Amino acid sequence: MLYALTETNPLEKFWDLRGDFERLFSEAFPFQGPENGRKAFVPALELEEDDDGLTLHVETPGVEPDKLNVSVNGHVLTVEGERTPPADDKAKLQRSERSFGKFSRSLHLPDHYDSEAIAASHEYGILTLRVPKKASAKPRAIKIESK
Amino acid sequence: MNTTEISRPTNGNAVRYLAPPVEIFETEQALVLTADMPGVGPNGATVEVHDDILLLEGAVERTHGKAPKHFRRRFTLTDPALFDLEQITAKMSNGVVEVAIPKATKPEPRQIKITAT
Repeated sequence: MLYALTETNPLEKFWDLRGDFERLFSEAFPFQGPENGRKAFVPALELEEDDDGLTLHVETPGVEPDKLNVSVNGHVLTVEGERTPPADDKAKLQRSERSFGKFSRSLHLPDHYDSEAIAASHEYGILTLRVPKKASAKPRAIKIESK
Repeated sequence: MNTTEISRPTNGNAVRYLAPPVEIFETEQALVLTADMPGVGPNGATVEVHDDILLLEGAVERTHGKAPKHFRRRFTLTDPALFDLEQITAKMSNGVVEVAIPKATKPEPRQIKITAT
């Protein structure tokens, strides 16, 4: 029963095409990953900065919070974890676009961020880290005194 | 972000849909589809089945005035008779939706008694 689920949306052709480009690209510039034959999972990051600090969203769909590890070493913030595939060895794989395995992403935090005060939360497969700026680095108004 | 609702776009052109990456595999009992939709909670996801069409949608409401993120992908079952479409189940965990389409149970082979006329 091969290809029991096929795509129908004509717009999806675009994605297939994109996949072709990606394949072409990855053949020309093969990724030297730790996985054998399979693309390694790299969580997507989103960074937002405001006056008070930095918010970092790490997309780790399918990863249980207890399989996530956040650490700070000096100025380096590291998020590590492992994504395990849902299918067991007996299952017949028909389509595989998701990737699995161990992952690690690190960010260098500039001096004016308070790496001691990082707060982490997790919801619906997104890890959110809040890194506040050091009080001395926050913008502040200087009061002008009139004589 | 506790309650995320699918917000219907008033202008269809304004919404950009992301096709979530999927993994499709067959077990002894079912055809299973898993899709990555990070940020989508159980209330933000829908799975619809119309005849042989399976439609997957998800929406993420985002803060800081950013437009919500929409996921959408559609599949066709090439041989719906092989499955029990009434018994499809879907669950959501850590931003991954898992849809199980159970295989139809085949009737047991039985002997047909031949009667002499």
